[in-house]
Amino acid sequence: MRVRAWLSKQQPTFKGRRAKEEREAYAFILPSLLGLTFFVFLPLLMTFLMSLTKFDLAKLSGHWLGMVKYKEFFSDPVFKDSLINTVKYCVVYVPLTLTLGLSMAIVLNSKLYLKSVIRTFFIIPYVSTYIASIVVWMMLLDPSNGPLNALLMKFGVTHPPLWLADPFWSMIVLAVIGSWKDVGFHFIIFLAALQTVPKHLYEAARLDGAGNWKQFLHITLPMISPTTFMLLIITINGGLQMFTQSYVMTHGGPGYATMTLVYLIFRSAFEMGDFSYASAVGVVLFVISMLIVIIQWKLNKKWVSYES
Amino acid sequence: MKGQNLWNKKRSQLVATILAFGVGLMFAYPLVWMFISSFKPENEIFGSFHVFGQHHLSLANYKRIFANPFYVRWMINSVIVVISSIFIKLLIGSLAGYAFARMRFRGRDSIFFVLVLTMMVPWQVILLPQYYIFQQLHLINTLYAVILPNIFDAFAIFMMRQFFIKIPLEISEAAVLDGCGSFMTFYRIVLPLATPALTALGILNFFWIWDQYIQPMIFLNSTKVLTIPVGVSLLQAQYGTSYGMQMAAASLAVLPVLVVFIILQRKFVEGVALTGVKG
Repeated sequence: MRVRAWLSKQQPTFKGRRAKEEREAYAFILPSLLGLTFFVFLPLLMTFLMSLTKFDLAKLSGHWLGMVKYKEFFSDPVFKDSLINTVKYCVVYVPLTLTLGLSMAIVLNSKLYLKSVIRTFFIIPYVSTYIASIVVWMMLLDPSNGPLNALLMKFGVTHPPLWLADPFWSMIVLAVIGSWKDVGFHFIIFLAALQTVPKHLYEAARLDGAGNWKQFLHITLPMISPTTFMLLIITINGGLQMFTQSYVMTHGGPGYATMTLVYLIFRSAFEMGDFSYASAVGVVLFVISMLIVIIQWKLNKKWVSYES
Repeated sequence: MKGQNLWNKKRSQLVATILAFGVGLMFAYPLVWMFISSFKPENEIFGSFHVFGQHHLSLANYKRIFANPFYVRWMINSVIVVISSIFIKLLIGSLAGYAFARMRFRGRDSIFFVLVLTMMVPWQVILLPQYYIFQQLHLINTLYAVILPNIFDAFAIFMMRQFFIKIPLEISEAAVLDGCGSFMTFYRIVLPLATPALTALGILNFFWIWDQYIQPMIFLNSTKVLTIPVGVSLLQAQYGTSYGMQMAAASLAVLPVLVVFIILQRKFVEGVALTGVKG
Protein backbone atom coordinates (compact mmCIF):
# COMPACT_ATOMS: atom_id res chain seq x y z
CA MET A 1 0.00 0.00 0.00
CA ARG A 2 2.58 2.42 1.09
CA VAL A 3 4.69 1.61 -1.94
CA ARG A 4 1.83 2.27 -4.31
CA ALA A 5 1.05 5.55 -2.62
CA TRP A 6 4.67 6.50 -2.91
CA LEU A 7 4.73 5.50 -6.56
CA SER A 8 1.62 7.51 -7.41
CA LYS A 9 3.21 10.52 -5.78
CA GLN A 10 6.35 9.96 -7.77
CA GLN A 11 4.55 9.40 -11.06
CA PRO A 12 4.20 13.01 -12.25
CA THR A 13 7.81 13.85 -11.49
CA PHE A 14 8.87 10.66 -13.23
CA LYS A 15 6.93 11.63 -16.32
CA GLY A 16 8.29 15.12 -16.06
CA ARG A 17 11.75 13.73 -15.82
CA ARG A 18 11.22 11.62 -18.94
CA ALA A 19 10.02 14.66 -20.89
CA LYS A 20 12.99 16.65 -19.65
CA GLU A 21 15.39 13.88 -20.59
CA GLU A 22 13.89 13.77 -24.04
CA ARG A 23 14.30 17.52 -24.52
CA GLU A 24 17.86 17.33 -23.32
CA ALA A 25 18.63 14.39 -25.58
CA TYR A 26 17.44 16.32 -28.60
CA ALA A 27 19.64 19.21 -27.53
CA PHE A 28 22.57 16.79 -27.31
CA ILE A 29 22.12 15.46 -30.85
CA LEU A 30 21.04 18.76 -32.40
CA PRO A 31 24.52 20.01 -33.44
CA SER A 32 25.35 16.70 -35.15
CA LEU A 33 21.94 16.46 -36.74
CA LEU A 34 22.08 20.00 -38.15
CA GLY A 35 25.70 19.69 -39.24
CA LEU A 36 25.30 16.37 -41.01
CA THR A 37 22.07 17.54 -42.65
CA PHE A 38 23.74 20.70 -43.90
CA PHE A 39 27.10 19.25 -44.90
CA VAL A 40 26.19 15.71 -46.01
CA PHE A 41 22.49 15.15 -46.73
CA LEU A 42 21.85 18.50 -48.40
CA PRO A 43 24.99 18.26 -50.61
CA LEU A 44 24.04 14.70 -51.55
CA LEU A 45 20.62 15.88 -52.66
CA MET A 46 22.26 18.77 -54.50
CA THR A 47 24.59 16.39 -56.34
CA PHE A 48 21.58 14.55 -57.74
CA LEU A 49 19.83 17.80 -58.64
CA MET A 50 22.91 19.38 -60.18
CA SER A 51 23.43 16.34 -62.39
CA LEU A 52 19.95 16.87 -63.83
CA THR A 53 20.15 20.62 -64.37
CA LYS A 54 22.38 23.12 -66.09
CA PHE A 55 23.56 25.12 -63.16
CA ASP A 56 25.28 28.48 -63.23
CA LEU A 57 27.30 28.90 -60.07
CA ALA A 58 27.79 32.63 -60.44
CA LYS A 59 24.21 33.55 -61.32
CA LEU A 60 22.56 31.04 -59.03
CA SER A 61 20.23 29.99 -61.81
CA GLY A 62 19.66 26.85 -63.79
CA HIS A 63 17.39 25.04 -66.15
CA TRP A 64 16.30 21.45 -66.36
CA LEU A 65 18.45 19.03 -68.36
CA GLY A 66 17.06 15.66 -67.43
CA MET A 67 19.27 12.72 -68.30
CA VAL A 68 21.35 14.62 -70.88
CA LYS A 69 24.57 14.45 -68.84
CA TYR A 70 24.11 10.75 -68.19
CA LYS A 71 23.77 10.14 -71.91
CA GLU A 72 27.06 11.95 -72.44
CA PHE A 73 28.81 9.09 -70.67
CA PHE A 74 28.32 6.90 -73.71
CA SER A 75 29.95 9.34 -76.08
CA ASP A 76 32.76 10.43 -73.72
CA PRO A 77 35.84 8.21 -74.11
CA VAL A 78 37.40 9.80 -70.99
CA PHE A 79 34.51 8.52 -68.87
CA LYS A 80 35.06 5.01 -70.14
CA ASP A 81 38.79 5.33 -69.48
CA SER A 82 38.20 6.64 -65.96
CA LEU A 83 35.88 3.78 -65.15
CA ILE A 84 38.29 1.14 -66.51
CA ASN A 85 41.29 2.79 -64.84
CA THR A 86 39.51 2.92 -61.50
CA VAL A 87 38.77 -0.79 -61.77
CA LYS A 88 42.37 -1.44 -62.85
CA TYR A 89 43.64 0.43 -59.82
CA CYS A 90 41.41 -1.63 -57.53
CA VAL A 91 42.49 -4.90 -59.14
CA VAL A 92 46.09 -4.20 -58.11
CA TYR A 93 45.55 -2.17 -54.98
CA VAL A 94 42.95 -4.27 -53.15
CA PRO A 95 44.59 -7.74 -53.21
CA LEU A 96 48.06 -6.27 -52.75
CA THR A 97 47.09 -4.25 -49.68
CA LEU A 98 45.18 -7.11 -48.08
CA THR A 99 47.82 -9.82 -48.62
CA LEU A 100 50.67 -7.50 -47.67
CA GLY A 101 48.85 -6.35 -44.54
CA LEU A 102 48.04 -9.90 -43.50
CA SER A 103 51.58 -11.16 -44.18
CA MET A 104 53.10 -8.33 -42.16
CA ALA A 105 50.69 -9.05 -39.31
CA ILE A 106 51.53 -12.77 -39.36
CA VAL A 107 55.25 -12.02 -39.24
CA LEU A 108 54.84 -9.67 -36.29
CA ASN A 109 52.55 -12.11 -34.54
CA SER A 110 55.31 -14.72 -34.44
CA LYS A 111 58.29 -14.73 -32.11
CA LEU A 112 60.72 -11.98 -33.11
CA TYR A 113 63.27 -9.66 -31.59
CA LEU A 114 62.96 -5.89 -32.06
CA LYS A 115 59.22 -6.18 -32.55
CA SER A 116 58.40 -2.56 -31.76
CA VAL A 117 61.07 -1.23 -34.14
CA ILE A 118 59.82 -3.39 -37.01
CA ARG A 119 56.25 -2.41 -36.24
CA THR A 120 57.22 1.25 -36.40
CA PHE A 121 58.80 0.73 -39.83
CA PHE A 122 55.62 -0.90 -41.09
CA ILE A 123 53.34 1.87 -39.88
CA ILE A 124 55.46 4.90 -40.78
CA PRO A 125 54.14 5.30 -44.37
CA TYR A 126 50.57 5.26 -43.07
CA VAL A 127 51.09 8.10 -40.61
CA SER A 128 53.38 10.20 -42.79
CA THR A 129 51.96 13.11 -44.75
CA TYR A 130 50.95 11.58 -48.06
CA ILE A 131 51.94 14.53 -50.22
CA ALA A 132 55.44 14.43 -48.77
CA SER A 133 55.75 10.73 -49.62
CA ILE A 134 54.42 11.41 -53.10
CA VAL A 135 57.10 14.04 -53.71
CA VAL A 136 59.74 11.51 -52.64
CA TRP A 137 58.32 8.74 -54.81
CA MET A 138 58.32 11.04 -57.83
CA MET A 139 62.03 11.55 -57.36
CA LEU A 140 62.78 7.88 -56.67
CA LEU A 141 60.92 6.96 -59.86
CA ASP A 142 62.42 9.65 -62.06
CA PRO A 143 63.14 7.68 -65.27
CA SER A 144 66.33 9.45 -66.31
CA ASN A 145 68.26 10.03 -63.10
CA GLY A 146 66.15 8.63 -60.27
CA PRO A 147 67.83 6.19 -57.87
CA LEU A 148 65.56 3.27 -58.78
CA ASN A 149 66.47 3.25 -62.44
CA ALA A 150 70.10 3.95 -61.57
CA LEU A 151 70.02 0.77 -59.52
CA LEU A 152 68.29 -1.22 -62.26
CA MET A 153 70.88 -0.06 -64.77
CA LYS A 154 73.65 -1.12 -62.41
CA PHE A 155 72.13 -4.60 -62.49
CA GLY A 156 72.22 -4.62 -66.26
CA VAL A 157 68.73 -3.48 -67.20
CA THR A 158 69.54 -1.36 -70.21
CA HIS A 159 66.10 0.12 -70.76
CA PRO A 160 64.36 0.39 -67.41
CA PRO A 161 60.66 1.35 -67.55
CA LEU A 162 59.68 4.99 -67.63
CA TRP A 163 57.36 4.22 -64.70
CA LEU A 164 55.00 7.19 -64.33
CA ALA A 165 55.45 8.22 -67.96
CA ASP A 166 54.65 4.74 -69.23
CA PRO A 167 50.97 4.08 -70.08
CA PHE A 168 51.25 0.46 -68.92
CA TRP A 169 53.24 0.96 -65.72
CA SER A 170 51.81 4.25 -64.47
CA MET A 171 48.59 2.87 -62.97
CA ILE A 172 50.38 -0.12 -61.47
CA VAL A 173 52.95 2.16 -59.86
CA LEU A 174 50.22 4.38 -58.42
CA ALA A 175 48.48 1.30 -57.01
CA VAL A 176 51.70 0.04 -55.42
CA ILE A 177 52.29 3.46 -53.86
CA GLY A 178 48.69 3.50 -52.65
CA SER A 179 49.21 0.11 -51.02
CA TRP A 180 52.49 1.19 -49.51
CA LYS A 181 50.77 4.17 -47.95
CA ASP A 182 47.67 2.40 -46.61
CA VAL A 183 48.90 -1.05 -45.63
CA GLY A 184 49.96 0.09 -42.14
CA PHE A 185 46.28 0.43 -41.28
CA HIS A 186 45.49 -3.08 -42.51
CA PHE A 187 48.53 -4.44 -40.73
CA ILE A 188 47.44 -3.05 -37.34
CA ILE A 189 43.89 -4.35 -37.69
CA PHE A 190 44.99 -7.78 -38.90
CA LEU A 191 47.47 -8.00 -36.04
CA ALA A 192 44.73 -7.17 -33.53
CA ALA A 193 42.52 -9.83 -35.13
CA LEU A 194 45.29 -12.47 -35.06
CA GLN A 195 45.81 -11.85 -31.38
CA THR A 196 42.19 -12.72 -30.66
CA VAL A 197 42.49 -16.21 -32.18
CA PRO A 198 42.54 -18.64 -29.24
CA LYS A 199 45.93 -20.31 -28.86
CA HIS A 200 44.44 -23.69 -27.93
CA LEU A 201 43.07 -24.11 -31.45
CA TYR A 202 46.61 -24.15 -32.83
CA GLU A 203 47.80 -26.54 -30.13
CA ALA A 204 44.98 -28.94 -30.93
CA ALA A 205 45.77 -28.74 -34.64
CA ARG A 206 49.45 -29.38 -34.00
CA LEU A 207 48.58 -32.48 -32.00
CA ASP A 208 46.54 -33.63 -35.00
CA GLY A 209 49.64 -33.18 -37.12
CA ALA A 210 48.57 -30.09 -39.06
CA GLY A 211 51.47 -28.09 -40.50
CA ASN A 212 51.81 -24.31 -40.54
CA TRP A 213 50.05 -23.93 -43.88
CA LYS A 214 47.16 -26.14 -42.84
CA GLN A 215 46.83 -24.24 -39.58
CA PHE A 216 46.73 -20.97 -41.47
CA LEU A 217 44.14 -22.26 -43.91
CA HIS A 218 41.85 -23.98 -41.44
CA ILE A 219 42.23 -21.89 -38.30
CA THR A 220 43.66 -18.44 -38.97
CA LEU A 221 41.76 -17.54 -42.13
CA PRO A 222 38.30 -18.59 -40.89
CA MET A 223 38.86 -17.01 -37.48
CA ILE A 224 39.82 -13.62 -38.89
CA SER A 225 37.29 -13.69 -41.74
CA PRO A 226 35.03 -10.96 -40.25
CA THR A 227 38.05 -8.63 -40.11
CA THR A 228 39.16 -9.59 -43.61
CA PHE A 229 35.72 -8.95 -44.94
CA MET A 230 35.42 -5.55 -43.30
CA LEU A 231 38.87 -4.56 -44.57
CA LEU A 232 37.95 -5.78 -48.06
CA ILE A 233 35.00 -3.40 -48.16
CA ILE A 234 37.03 -0.49 -46.78
CA THR A 235 39.81 -1.18 -49.28
CA ILE A 236 37.52 -1.43 -52.30
CA ASN A 237 35.86 1.84 -51.32
CA GLY A 238 39.27 3.44 -50.83
CA GLY A 239 40.38 2.19 -54.24
CA LEU A 240 37.27 3.61 -55.91
CA GLN A 241 38.13 7.01 -54.45
CA MET A 242 41.70 7.22 -55.72
CA PHE A 243 42.65 10.73 -56.75
CA THR A 244 45.63 12.26 -54.97
CA GLN A 245 48.40 10.16 -56.54
CA SER A 246 47.19 10.62 -60.09
CA TYR A 247 46.48 14.32 -59.59
CA VAL A 248 49.91 15.13 -58.16
CA MET A 249 52.11 12.52 -59.83
CA THR A 250 50.72 12.05 -63.33
CA HIS A 251 47.92 14.61 -63.86
CA GLY A 252 45.83 11.71 -65.05
CA GLY A 253 48.37 10.87 -67.75
CA PRO A 254 50.16 9.82 -69.78
CA GLY A 255 47.17 10.46 -72.02
CA TYR A 256 44.30 9.42 -69.79
CA ALA A 257 46.08 6.33 -68.45
CA THR A 258 45.62 7.32 -64.80
CA MET A 259 42.39 9.30 -65.06
CA THR A 260 40.02 8.01 -62.35
CA LEU A 261 36.38 8.66 -61.51
CA VAL A 262 37.18 11.13 -58.72
CA TYR A 263 39.73 12.85 -60.94
CA LEU A 264 37.06 13.13 -63.62
CA ILE A 265 34.72 14.81 -61.11
CA PHE A 266 37.47 17.27 -60.26
CA ARG A 267 38.48 17.86 -63.86
CA SER A 268 34.94 18.33 -65.17
CA ALA A 269 34.08 20.79 -62.42
CA PHE A 270 37.19 22.85 -61.92
CA GLU A 271 39.02 22.54 -65.21
CA MET A 272 36.11 22.34 -67.66
CA GLY A 273 33.53 24.25 -65.59
CA ASP A 274 30.85 21.62 -66.21
CA PHE A 275 29.36 21.08 -62.76
CA SER A 276 26.42 19.11 -64.16
CA TYR A 277 28.64 16.51 -65.77
CA ALA A 278 30.88 16.40 -62.69
CA SER A 279 27.83 15.78 -60.52
CA ALA A 280 26.63 13.03 -62.83
CA VAL A 281 29.99 11.28 -62.42
CA GLY A 282 29.59 11.80 -58.67
CA VAL A 283 26.21 10.06 -58.80
CA VAL A 284 27.82 7.12 -60.62
CA LEU A 285 30.48 6.87 -57.90
CA PHE A 286 27.79 7.09 -55.23
CA VAL A 287 25.73 4.33 -56.84
CA ILE A 288 28.76 2.02 -57.15
CA SER A 289 29.67 2.59 -53.50
CA MET A 290 26.11 1.90 -52.38
CA LEU A 291 26.03 -1.29 -54.45
CA ILE A 292 29.12 -2.47 -52.65
CA VAL A 293 27.59 -1.69 -49.26
CA ILE A 294 24.46 -3.63 -50.21
CA ILE A 295 26.49 -6.58 -51.49
CA GLN A 296 28.41 -6.46 -48.22
CA TRP A 297 25.20 -6.73 -46.21
CA LYS A 298 23.90 -9.57 -48.34
CA LEU A 299 27.12 -11.56 -48.36
CA ASN A 300 28.17 -10.89 -44.80
CA LYS A 301 26.17 -13.78 -43.40
CA LYS A 302 27.09 -16.16 -46.18
CA TRP A 303 30.85 -15.80 -46.34
CA VAL A 304 31.94 -14.89 -42.91
CA SER A 305 32.12 -17.51 -40.24
CA TYR A 306 31.59 -16.02 -36.82
CA GLU A 307 32.63 -17.74 -33.65
CA SER A 308 29.48 -18.93 -31.93
CA MET B 1 69.16 -32.50 -27.10
CA LYS B 2 66.93 -29.95 -25.47
CA GLY B 3 69.64 -27.31 -25.59
CA GLN B 4 70.09 -28.02 -29.30
CA ASN B 5 66.38 -27.53 -29.85
CA LEU B 6 66.35 -24.24 -27.98
CA TRP B 7 69.35 -23.05 -29.96
CA ASN B 8 67.59 -23.93 -33.20
CA LYS B 9 64.54 -22.01 -32.10
CA LYS B 10 66.63 -18.97 -31.18
CA ARG B 11 68.47 -19.13 -34.46
CA SER B 12 65.33 -19.25 -36.58
CA GLN B 13 63.93 -16.40 -34.51
CA LEU B 14 67.06 -14.41 -35.24
CA VAL B 15 66.86 -15.12 -38.97
CA ALA B 16 63.19 -14.12 -39.01
CA THR B 17 64.05 -10.91 -37.16
CA ILE B 18 66.77 -9.99 -39.63
CA LEU B 19 64.45 -10.67 -42.59
CA ALA B 20 61.56 -8.72 -41.09
CA PHE B 21 63.87 -5.89 -40.14
CA GLY B 22 65.21 -5.73 -43.69
CA VAL B 23 61.74 -5.67 -45.20
CA GLY B 24 60.67 -3.04 -42.67
CA LEU B 25 63.66 -0.89 -43.49
CA MET B 26 62.89 -1.16 -47.20
CA PHE B 27 59.36 -0.15 -46.35
CA ALA B 28 60.38 2.99 -44.51
CA TYR B 29 63.21 3.60 -46.96
CA PRO B 30 61.58 6.35 -49.09
CA LEU B 31 61.07 8.43 -45.98
CA VAL B 32 64.57 7.79 -44.66
CA TRP B 33 65.89 8.79 -48.08
CA MET B 34 63.80 11.94 -47.91
CA PHE B 35 65.22 13.00 -44.54
CA ILE B 36 68.83 12.35 -45.52
CA SER B 37 68.43 13.98 -48.93
CA SER B 38 67.01 17.10 -47.36
CA PHE B 39 70.46 17.78 -45.86
CA LYS B 40 72.33 17.20 -49.13
CA PRO B 41 73.31 19.70 -51.80
CA GLU B 42 71.46 19.33 -55.13
CA ASN B 43 74.15 17.50 -57.05
CA GLU B 44 74.46 14.71 -54.49
CA ILE B 45 70.80 13.74 -54.22
CA PHE B 46 70.16 11.92 -57.43
CA GLY B 47 71.62 8.69 -58.59
CA SER B 48 72.48 7.47 -55.10
CA PHE B 49 70.18 4.86 -53.70
CA HIS B 50 72.16 4.50 -50.52
CA VAL B 51 71.78 7.20 -47.94
CA PHE B 52 75.05 7.22 -46.05
CA GLY B 53 78.57 7.87 -47.20
CA GLN B 54 80.71 10.83 -48.05
CA HIS B 55 78.21 13.62 -48.31
CA HIS B 56 78.27 17.28 -47.51
CA LEU B 57 75.35 17.48 -45.18
CA SER B 58 74.10 20.93 -44.26
CA LEU B 59 71.02 22.86 -43.23
CA ALA B 60 71.13 24.99 -46.37
CA ASN B 61 67.90 23.60 -47.81
CA TYR B 62 66.07 24.25 -44.57
CA LYS B 63 67.35 27.81 -44.41
CA ARG B 64 65.93 28.40 -47.87
CA ILE B 65 62.60 26.85 -46.90
CA PHE B 66 62.25 29.15 -43.92
CA ALA B 67 63.14 32.06 -46.15
CA ASN B 68 59.89 31.29 -47.97
CA PRO B 69 57.41 33.71 -46.37
CA PHE B 70 54.54 31.22 -46.49
CA TYR B 71 55.92 27.97 -45.12
CA VAL B 72 55.54 28.83 -41.43
CA ARG B 73 52.12 30.32 -42.15
CA TRP B 74 51.00 26.98 -43.72
CA MET B 75 52.23 25.12 -40.67
CA ILE B 76 50.21 27.41 -38.41
CA ASN B 77 47.15 27.00 -40.66
CA SER B 78 47.45 23.22 -40.49
CA VAL B 79 47.78 23.31 -36.72
CA ILE B 80 44.70 25.55 -36.45
CA VAL B 81 42.67 23.26 -38.70
CA VAL B 82 43.77 20.07 -36.95
CA ILE B 83 43.33 21.29 -33.36
CA SER B 84 40.00 23.04 -33.83
CA SER B 85 38.57 20.23 -35.98
CA ILE B 86 39.49 17.57 -33.42
CA PHE B 87 38.34 19.57 -30.42
CA ILE B 88 34.90 20.47 -31.76
CA LYS B 89 34.41 17.09 -33.42
CA LEU B 90 35.07 15.24 -30.16
CA LEU B 91 32.78 17.56 -28.19
CA ILE B 92 29.87 17.35 -30.63
CA GLY B 93 30.43 13.67 -31.34
CA SER B 94 30.55 12.63 -27.70
CA LEU B 95 27.44 14.67 -26.88
CA ALA B 96 25.49 12.87 -29.60
CA GLY B 97 27.14 9.53 -28.84
CA TYR B 98 26.10 9.83 -25.20
CA ALA B 99 22.52 10.69 -26.10
CA PHE B 100 22.27 7.72 -28.47
CA ALA B 101 23.82 5.38 -25.93
CA ARG B 102 22.23 6.44 -22.69
CA MET B 103 19.24 8.72 -23.05
CA ARG B 104 15.68 7.79 -23.88
CA PHE B 105 13.90 9.70 -26.61
CA ARG B 106 11.52 9.02 -29.44
CA GLY B 107 13.09 8.03 -32.76
CA ARG B 108 16.46 7.39 -31.15
CA ASP B 109 17.41 4.27 -33.07
CA SER B 110 16.08 5.41 -36.43
CA ILE B 111 17.85 8.77 -36.18
CA PHE B 112 21.05 6.98 -35.23
CA PHE B 113 20.72 4.63 -38.19
CA VAL B 114 20.26 7.52 -40.61
CA LEU B 115 23.30 9.33 -39.21
CA VAL B 116 25.44 6.19 -39.46
CA LEU B 117 24.40 5.88 -43.10
CA THR B 118 26.37 9.05 -43.83
CA MET B 119 29.54 7.04 -43.17
CA MET B 120 28.81 5.17 -46.41
CA VAL B 121 28.72 8.29 -48.59
CA PRO B 122 32.03 8.80 -50.40
CA TRP B 123 32.90 12.35 -49.45
CA GLN B 124 34.24 13.16 -52.92
CA VAL B 125 30.65 12.88 -54.15
CA ILE B 126 29.48 15.80 -51.99
CA LEU B 127 32.53 18.00 -52.50
CA LEU B 128 31.07 20.13 -55.30
CA PRO B 129 27.84 21.08 -53.47
CA GLN B 130 29.92 21.78 -50.38
CA TYR B 131 32.04 24.07 -52.49
CA TYR B 132 28.89 25.76 -53.68
CA ILE B 133 27.50 26.15 -50.15
CA PHE B 134 30.74 27.66 -48.92
CA GLN B 135 30.75 30.04 -51.85
CA GLN B 136 27.28 31.23 -50.89
CA LEU B 137 28.43 31.68 -47.30
CA HIS B 138 31.58 33.52 -48.42
CA LEU B 139 33.72 30.94 -46.68
CA ILE B 140 35.79 29.87 -49.68
CA ASN B 141 39.41 30.72 -49.04
CA THR B 142 38.95 30.64 -45.27
CA LEU B 143 39.96 27.84 -42.94
CA TYR B 144 36.30 27.50 -41.86
CA ALA B 145 35.59 25.78 -45.18
CA VAL B 146 38.07 23.05 -44.27
CA ILE B 147 37.14 22.82 -40.58
CA LEU B 148 33.33 22.78 -40.84
CA PRO B 149 32.90 19.52 -42.82
CA ASN B 150 35.46 17.91 -40.52
CA ILE B 151 33.63 18.50 -37.27
CA PHE B 152 30.40 16.72 -38.18
CA ASP B 153 31.46 13.13 -38.29
CA ALA B 154 29.15 10.15 -37.96
CA PHE B 155 32.16 7.94 -37.32
CA ALA B 156 33.04 9.87 -34.15
CA ILE B 157 29.42 9.66 -32.97
CA PHE B 158 29.39 5.94 -33.68
CA MET B 159 32.65 5.27 -31.82
CA MET B 160 31.62 7.33 -28.81
CA ARG B 161 28.23 5.61 -28.63
CA GLN B 162 29.93 2.21 -28.66
CA PHE B 163 32.11 3.37 -25.80
CA PHE B 164 29.35 4.92 -23.67
CA ILE B 165 27.19 1.80 -24.00
CA LYS B 166 29.85 -0.14 -22.11
CA ILE B 167 29.99 2.25 -19.14
CA PRO B 168 28.00 0.74 -16.24
CA LEU B 169 24.51 2.20 -16.10
CA GLU B 170 24.65 2.78 -12.34
CA ILE B 171 27.30 5.44 -12.65
CA SER B 172 25.28 7.88 -14.70
CA GLU B 173 21.99 6.95 -13.05
CA ALA B 174 23.33 7.66 -9.60
CA ALA B 175 24.32 11.11 -10.77
CA VAL B 176 20.89 11.73 -12.29
CA LEU B 177 19.18 10.69 -9.04
CA ASP B 178 21.47 13.01 -7.17
CA GLY B 179 19.81 15.79 -9.11
CA CYS B 180 22.48 16.35 -11.71
CA GLY B 181 21.00 17.48 -15.02
CA SER B 182 21.84 15.51 -18.13
CA PHE B 183 24.54 17.92 -19.18
CA MET B 184 26.16 18.00 -15.75
CA THR B 185 26.10 14.20 -15.60
CA PHE B 186 27.67 14.06 -19.01
CA TYR B 187 30.27 16.73 -18.37
CA ARG B 188 31.25 15.87 -14.81
CA ILE B 189 30.93 12.10 -14.71
CA VAL B 190 30.67 10.45 -18.11
CA LEU B 191 33.12 12.54 -20.11
CA PRO B 192 36.08 12.00 -17.75
CA LEU B 193 35.44 8.24 -17.97
CA ALA B 194 35.62 8.50 -21.75
CA THR B 195 39.19 9.81 -21.80
CA PRO B 196 40.63 6.63 -23.40
CA ALA B 197 38.12 6.73 -26.26
CA LEU B 198 38.55 10.47 -26.73
CA THR B 199 42.33 10.09 -26.82
CA ALA B 200 42.20 7.28 -29.38
CA LEU B 201 39.81 9.19 -31.63
CA GLY B 202 41.78 12.40 -31.20
CA ILE B 203 45.07 10.78 -32.21
CA LEU B 204 43.59 9.07 -35.26
CA ASN B 205 42.00 12.30 -36.39
CA PHE B 206 45.25 14.15 -35.91
CA PHE B 207 46.86 12.02 -38.61
CA TRP B 208 43.82 11.96 -40.88
CA ILE B 209 43.20 15.70 -40.79
CA TRP B 210 46.88 16.66 -41.04
CA ASP B 211 46.99 14.56 -44.20
CA GLN B 212 43.90 16.07 -45.85
CA TYR B 213 44.68 17.26 -49.33
CA ILE B 214 41.68 17.48 -51.65
CA GLN B 215 39.42 19.59 -49.43
CA PRO B 216 41.96 22.35 -48.72
CA MET B 217 43.13 22.16 -52.33
CA ILE B 218 39.61 22.90 -53.54
CA PHE B 219 38.32 25.19 -50.79
CA LEU B 220 41.44 27.34 -50.41
CA ASN B 221 43.12 29.18 -53.22
CA SER B 222 45.23 32.08 -52.06
CA THR B 223 48.77 31.14 -51.10
CA LYS B 224 48.52 32.60 -47.60
CA VAL B 225 45.68 30.42 -46.33
CA LEU B 226 46.87 27.00 -47.56
CA THR B 227 47.51 24.07 -45.27
CA ILE B 228 50.81 22.22 -45.31
CA PRO B 229 50.02 19.38 -47.78
CA VAL B 230 48.71 21.80 -50.40
CA GLY B 231 51.67 24.06 -49.73
CA VAL B 232 54.14 21.23 -50.21
CA SER B 233 52.60 20.25 -53.54
CA LEU B 234 52.68 23.91 -54.57
CA LEU B 235 56.39 24.10 -53.73
CA GLN B 236 56.96 20.86 -55.57
CA ALA B 237 55.59 22.51 -58.71
CA GLN B 238 57.40 25.79 -58.04
CA TYR B 239 60.81 24.44 -57.14
CA GLY B 240 60.88 22.17 -60.16
CA THR B 241 64.38 20.84 -60.10
CA SER B 242 65.40 22.16 -56.68
CA TYR B 243 65.17 18.68 -55.25
CA GLY B 244 66.95 19.43 -52.00
CA MET B 245 64.38 22.08 -51.17
CA GLN B 246 61.52 19.78 -52.12
CA MET B 247 62.92 17.19 -49.74
CA ALA B 248 63.33 19.73 -46.96
CA ALA B 249 59.76 20.98 -47.45
CA ALA B 250 58.46 17.40 -47.41
CA SER B 251 60.54 16.45 -44.36
CA LEU B 252 59.22 19.39 -42.38
CA ALA B 253 55.66 18.40 -43.30
CA VAL B 254 56.22 14.88 -41.96
CA LEU B 255 58.17 15.88 -38.86
CA PRO B 256 55.21 16.88 -36.62
CA VAL B 257 53.24 13.71 -37.35
CA LEU B 258 56.30 11.56 -36.92
CA VAL B 259 57.07 13.06 -33.51
CA VAL B 260 53.47 12.60 -32.39
CA PHE B 261 53.48 9.05 -33.74
CA ILE B 262 56.65 8.05 -31.95
CA ILE B 263 55.45 9.51 -28.65
CA LEU B 264 51.92 8.11 -28.84
CA GLN B 265 52.58 4.97 -30.87
CA ARG B 266 50.93 2.57 -28.45
CA LYS B 267 47.78 4.68 -28.17
CA PHE B 268 47.67 5.08 -31.96
CA VAL B 269 47.87 1.35 -32.57
CA GLU B 270 45.15 0.75 -29.99
CA GLY B 271 43.01 3.40 -31.66
CA VAL B 272 43.32 1.87 -35.13
CA ALA B 273 42.63 -1.59 -33.74
CA LEU B 274 39.52 -0.15 -32.10
CA THR B 275 38.19 1.13 -35.43
CA GLY B 276 38.60 -2.41 -36.76
CA VAL B 277 36.00 -3.63 -34.31
CA LYS B 278 33.26 -1.61 -35.98
CA GLY B 279 32.63 -4.10 -38.78
